[in-house]
Amino acid sequence: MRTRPFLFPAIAGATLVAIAASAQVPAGTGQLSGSQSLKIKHCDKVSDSVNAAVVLGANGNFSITNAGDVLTGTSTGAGNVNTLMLDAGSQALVTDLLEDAATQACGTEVDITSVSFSQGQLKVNKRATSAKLQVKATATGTSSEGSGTGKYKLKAKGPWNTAT
Amino acid sequence: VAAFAAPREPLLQQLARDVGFRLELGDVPLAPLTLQIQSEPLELALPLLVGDLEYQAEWSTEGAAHRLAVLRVGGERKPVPNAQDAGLAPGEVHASLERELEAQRHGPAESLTRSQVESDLASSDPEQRVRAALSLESEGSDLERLRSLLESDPDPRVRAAATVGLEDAEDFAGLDALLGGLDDPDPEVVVEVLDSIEYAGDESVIPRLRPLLAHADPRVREAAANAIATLE
Repeated sequence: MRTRPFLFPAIAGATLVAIAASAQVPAGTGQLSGSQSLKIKHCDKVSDSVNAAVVLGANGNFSITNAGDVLTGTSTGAGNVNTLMLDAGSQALVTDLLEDAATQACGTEVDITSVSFSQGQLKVNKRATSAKLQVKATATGTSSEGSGTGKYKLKAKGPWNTAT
Repeated sequence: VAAFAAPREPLLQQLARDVGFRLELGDVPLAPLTLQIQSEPLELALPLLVGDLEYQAEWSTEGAAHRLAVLRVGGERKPVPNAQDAGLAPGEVHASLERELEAQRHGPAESLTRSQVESDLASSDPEQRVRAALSLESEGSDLERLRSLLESDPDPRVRAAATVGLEDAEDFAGLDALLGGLDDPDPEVVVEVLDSIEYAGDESVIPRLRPLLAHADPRVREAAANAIATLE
């Protein structure tokens, strides 16, 4: 049984390419709800709901709080999309959360050895009244049964309140 | 499908929504339709649905699945002017939209009455039509109004304003209308459409965006690349 909700895979090596910003998601807050799942070959798929409080500062720093876990990092904007990058502490937290989720999915203790982050975005609509959080990642781990990879996805959406 | 002297356009639109293809209707009148189709394959049912009108179907194949991607019925769309034809300065389509949105964000929260919206949509002043377009809801019959504005309003600023409501639609019809806007003759409108698809779309629309990486206008190429990178 998973002991904690998992949220938001980290960046291994933080190799995201930031697009030169002409604009970005306006600073603000949002309560975004949706779902997340981790799918591992030869194991069960685990999924969970997400109800994340997102705070984005004017300097691009962000925090995401879901079920008591707080992830922080920096972001760069292009258009109405910000690319999110977790700080080192949050990457470690996410690795722990994914280990819990993978252990639940496989029914045996799993150690996450790497997490490759393919998408981490906060998007707003043109009115800047609604936001979407999307995350995709691939995690590699080992257990007594051998090694394997899992696909993680998160989608959440909700109203966005621009800071005045 | 069972229809007795039914208006053909809503039937085709319903079918497009149900099956998930893009419908492009030309400017010819669509005669009412009487027919009953039960389990015929779509390729056999299409001539019955379209009748004696000229049509063109584009099919896509993914794996073993063969699906209808685009159905054009009744010839070419009525040409709509681009920003240059409308006498607008470069960048004005986006700039005017930003001004209106900014005014809405920071101005008094007063909404237009239904009759005001209807009156403004019929106005010869594009700025009034822009404000009316921004007042339309992203659902119900307003969604069809937004689609119609994006398809055929003579002013590119109004077509660009229609993307704001379409990107917020929960109904697939909103995204479908945006995909139709990728063919807009004005590059600045196409950029707005791409920005909205970047927000509203998912990876399934990427094949529709790839051809725009070779668009003649560099702004469109950049917007398409950004949208694809976001949606991948």
